[in-house]
Amino acid sequence: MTLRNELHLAKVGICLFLAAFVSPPITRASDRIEKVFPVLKSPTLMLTNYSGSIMVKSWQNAEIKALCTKYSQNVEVDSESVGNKIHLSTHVLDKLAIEEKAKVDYQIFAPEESNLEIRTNLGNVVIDRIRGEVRIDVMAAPVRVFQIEGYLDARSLNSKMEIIDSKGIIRATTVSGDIILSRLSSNNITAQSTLGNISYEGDFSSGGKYNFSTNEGVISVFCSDRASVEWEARTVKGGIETNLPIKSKSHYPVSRSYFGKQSLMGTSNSGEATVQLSTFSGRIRIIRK
Amino acid sequence: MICREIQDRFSARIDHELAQVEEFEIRQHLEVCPFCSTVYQDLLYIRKSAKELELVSPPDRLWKSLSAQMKAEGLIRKPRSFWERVFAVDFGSSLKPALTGAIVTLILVAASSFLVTKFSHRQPEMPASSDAQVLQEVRDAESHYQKAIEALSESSRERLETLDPAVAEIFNDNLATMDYYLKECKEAALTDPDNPLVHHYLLTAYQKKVELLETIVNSDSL
Amino acid sequence: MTEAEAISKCVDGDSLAFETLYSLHKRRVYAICLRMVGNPAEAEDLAQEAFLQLFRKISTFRGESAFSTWLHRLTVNVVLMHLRKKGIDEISLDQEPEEDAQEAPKRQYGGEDTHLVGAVDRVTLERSIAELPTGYRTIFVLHDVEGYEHNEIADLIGCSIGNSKSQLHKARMKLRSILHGKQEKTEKKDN
Repeated sequence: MTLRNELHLAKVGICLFLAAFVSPPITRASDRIEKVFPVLKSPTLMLTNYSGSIMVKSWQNAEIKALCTKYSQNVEVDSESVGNKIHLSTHVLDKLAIEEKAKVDYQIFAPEESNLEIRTNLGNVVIDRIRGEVRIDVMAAPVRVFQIEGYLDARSLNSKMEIIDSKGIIRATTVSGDIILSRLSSNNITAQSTLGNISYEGDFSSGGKYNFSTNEGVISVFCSDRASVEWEARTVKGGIETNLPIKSKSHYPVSRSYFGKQSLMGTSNSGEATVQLSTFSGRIRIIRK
Repeated sequence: MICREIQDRFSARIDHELAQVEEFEIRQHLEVCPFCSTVYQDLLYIRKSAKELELVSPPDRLWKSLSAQMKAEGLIRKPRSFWERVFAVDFGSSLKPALTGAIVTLILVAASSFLVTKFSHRQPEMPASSDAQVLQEVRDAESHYQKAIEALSESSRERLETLDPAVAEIFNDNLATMDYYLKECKEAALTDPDNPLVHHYLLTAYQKKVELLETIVNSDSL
Repeated sequence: MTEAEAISKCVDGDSLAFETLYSLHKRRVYAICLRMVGNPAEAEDLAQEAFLQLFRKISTFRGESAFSTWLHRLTVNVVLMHLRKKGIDEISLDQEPEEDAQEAPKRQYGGEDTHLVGAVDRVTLERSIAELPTGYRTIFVLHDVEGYEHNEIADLIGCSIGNSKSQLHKARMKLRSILHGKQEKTEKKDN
């Protein structure tokens, strides 16, 4: 080895040696708490969090298991079991601390037929394969719901909501978050937003009622031309466009047109499902899948 | 199991917070340990005696001092006359969210019945000419909503100051959004006063603003 | 005048209405203040402050809870605020007090342990509560005397529920220790 190479190696070695002293200290591992609650059929879980991710997944065991990860000593996880109801809540000790110090992640396993009530401000929420009544109330936490059956009432202020591969009665409300409804087999869906867009991709069940309303956002409905739907679409300042074969009913127009169509009443095939779409200034699009 | 560990759980036992297994362990230990048994009985006695402590009367001078202070602050006033009471209606300070909610519910019932008849999907025939009565009803509903918003605004401002700044910012953004949207609806109502869909969206916008203010007022000050 | 009538007349500044409410609740308010601070002069000031706040805010009472519950909570908050202003360490439940709260009376081998049961009068108990360190006294009074649950105490004081429970146990053990000390002094005096 030449002197030059030796010097080079020595420099690298010294750098590595110094780096060991100036590298950031190893952060303290977060605290992980496990709580298990034996339950009977159709238990109810009520979870209140402030910030952090919440994931609820179904399993076959007759118990609810919660894995709670605290990121600071400024929070406690309180739990209470009353009959077949489990209460879990994040208790913030110093309410003036920064948001990071109030963060708790929850990973929960619950029986399929569980009922859930979830409240959180920030973070995100994922619900997977739950068949009971599910109520979600978040401020700015994206919500993703997969394969639920039963009843869903999900509300958010700012965050996006995705409901996928699900059945049963579905209610989704946001102020400015988008609502994405995909591959649903439900016959009763209501989606409302003030600023957010609403997108529906799927079929419509016979006898089903579907009501999508947004004020400023765009409503996009993607369905096959075999869908059997009675369409009622209205907008104040937006426009309506469609490439589906819809047999228009004769009806009195809502008001003078600003641009495009302001209302559309018509039928696809035999009109077995009722779909009502309305916006204030957003566009309404009914697109062949 | 040593006495110290057992005694550490006495308070939980007294307050009925033990699981059955622990209850059994402690009961077994108390049967064989007279010292722990004494400690337990003492704690039970303390708990019972504390619950039975009587109320204590303050010295008479307390009322004198208190009433003097209240007079100085003007809390004690001469009684109002009947007519003063009847006409002294103050929506601003006395409307609380629960009362506001009740008023809003009445408004919504009135507004909904108005909207159902004017915006019914089963009644496609709609009059082209303006309906003065309908417009007046909309204006009345608007006025009630505005009062409700005014009443809730101050409470919500106070509540926002107690919230986490990140949360308060989200609420403020949403309030700004609602205000912008309300402004658009009002402009549309001026441009197209005969349009029942515009009336519907205008009143819905007011309703959503009230709901948002109520959410703020009722949110936890985390 | 009933309580409900008095409450509505207080909004109009009726002095008789104020006096009625004061008479109905003065003992409870004063008792809370006295037991939480352990000092009659301080308790008097705090009771006055609690009533002043009550009468200033009475127009905001909407009947969502019983009036006495509302007043109770207001009083507790007034006392806690006062204790915090005195020095935050005084009601910090995370600190261990200097004396070991778990110290039990000395065991007398070969003899029977003396019970407290039936041996403590109300005055002795009150005085012993007043001798507890502030943090212990706060928890003990709120839970055992006033009947607050641990989750309510945790919320009021800003501690965890687990902390509240463990401090309550220590408070009870410390109180037991104080009471035994007084009992022994009395027995020695009699002998």
